[in-house]
Amino acid sequence: MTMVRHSKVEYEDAFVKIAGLLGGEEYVRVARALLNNEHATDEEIASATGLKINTVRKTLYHLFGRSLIGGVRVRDLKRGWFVYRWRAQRDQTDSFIDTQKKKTLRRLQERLIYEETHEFYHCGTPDCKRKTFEESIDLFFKCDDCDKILDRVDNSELKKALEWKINEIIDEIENANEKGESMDQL
Amino acid sequence: MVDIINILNIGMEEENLDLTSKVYKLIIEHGKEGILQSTLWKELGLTSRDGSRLAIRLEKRNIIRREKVLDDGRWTYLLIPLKLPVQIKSIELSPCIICYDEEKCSSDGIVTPYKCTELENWVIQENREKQSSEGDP
Repeated sequence: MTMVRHSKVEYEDAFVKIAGLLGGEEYVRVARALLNNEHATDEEIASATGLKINTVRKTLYHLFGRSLIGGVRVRDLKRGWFVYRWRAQRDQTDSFIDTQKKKTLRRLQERLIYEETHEFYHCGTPDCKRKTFEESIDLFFKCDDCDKILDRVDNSELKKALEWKINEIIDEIENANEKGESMDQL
Repeated sequence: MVDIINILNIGMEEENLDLTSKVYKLIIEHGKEGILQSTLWKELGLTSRDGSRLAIRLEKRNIIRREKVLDDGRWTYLLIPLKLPVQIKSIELSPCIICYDEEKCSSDGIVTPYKCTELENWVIQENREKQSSEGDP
């Protein structure tokens, strides 16, 4: 599923940034409403954002599933039924971002090692999967999906891109640590 | 309790939200010395009341602190950043964040980073964009 990501959140609260990463513009609007109206119900958030109540609920449950918001069940005095009042758990946001960076970094590093230690073969058909050298031997260098001959694939662009992204994430983590220290000295 | 009047005023809310980011940006740009609240609302073309509301909003979120100071015979607040904006540029478009199989993804799992085309396309695409923006052939 493709989601629209929000890109104009540089100077936003970390909580809003995460919401943008998870679900784009609609999530950003819900997150902002949560920050500005603590302990709001889904209906109040829908009024504040102009979003449909179903969209707000879906967003809230998703954020709740990621432990980014907490809900308290209270009785609605006018109507007599129970409603949930939601609150952003802003103390979770930094660790969430940190964890996401580290997880992504680990996956990229694993992939880079895999790319560096294997040879790959492909038939040229876009829908067919790439095979390793070992898999290609078993298949007698003939694609098991389209029967075309498997040729060696040059993965140097991918390796270069992986190295670049790994360095970018590491730099960002290190910069964040340095900035955190400098802010502590304020 | 929720300020009902505030949340019902959608247009006003959206306007203030963009301004919150602008205010935060301006405070960050002034570094640890901070910026006077009176300077801030003048620079952003706001009223004193709006400037004050936005600064209080950021203070409530614990990302700035306000210190009462006397400036040119008038009381105002010095706005000092407590927290720098979190940098997420490197993983902004990472497919892992919205991947439904993310929990199952491991080097020896059914879903693995070794075969993930989303991961592959993401890094290649971003690297190409970076190279073209730098004018690298």
